Amino acid sequence: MTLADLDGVLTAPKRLGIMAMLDAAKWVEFSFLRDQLELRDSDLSKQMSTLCDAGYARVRKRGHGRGSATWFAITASGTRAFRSHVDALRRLIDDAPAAP
Amino acid sequence: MVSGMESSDVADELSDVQRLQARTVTESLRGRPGALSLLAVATVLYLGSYEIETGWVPVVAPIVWILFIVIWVRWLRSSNRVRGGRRATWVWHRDGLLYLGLFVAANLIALVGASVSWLLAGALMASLGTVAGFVERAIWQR
Repeated sequence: MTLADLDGVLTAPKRLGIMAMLDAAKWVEFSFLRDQLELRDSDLSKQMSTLCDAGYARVRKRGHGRGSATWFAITASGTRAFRSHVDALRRLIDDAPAAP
Repeated sequence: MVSGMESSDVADELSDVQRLQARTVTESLRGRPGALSLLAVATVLYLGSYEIETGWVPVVAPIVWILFIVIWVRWLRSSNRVRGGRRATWVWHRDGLLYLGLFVAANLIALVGASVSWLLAGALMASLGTVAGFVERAIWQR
């Protein structure tokens, strides 16, 4: 087990947090992600663009104006990447030498 | 920023992953204030209407009930910012047992309604729904 087993996109803690939430549901609304992760709108948008560009998440917009909402879902490749990354993190802990 | 997510410590990251996933699932199940009370009142009115066996009530009441349930469920979930929270297998099993228990209890109450009073059955059914709602909420908020 090496650091190379970790997914480069998900090594950013913010993106790992986003993927954790997307993996727990079918659709998650933008404001919920923002509030739980305590991110600014612009920062979350940037992170979501990275995840969508990587093919890990997809977006759906509903409505227009004040009532509009942006929803995100994890893709199949995103699910695989996220779970594999989390497994790699767990192995890192398991393989870590015990404290003296 | 979430403190754990800023940490480079792997254990903290995994702990945050679990916490965020739990919050996401909880949000998907969140109801609205007053939803259970509204359902309880509607249940009493609907089952109570079984006492009226003539006129238009027996025809219209089931249609109004179905419409109410559809609108109530949509209203209940419309404020949720998470849809389709994924439940672990053991949670599906636990909820399955809860719903099975509710199904059995509801049928027993219907027997009471048929033989004693539909108004009483309505009150019992409303109590059952309220208790079940509180139990489920308590489980998810643990």
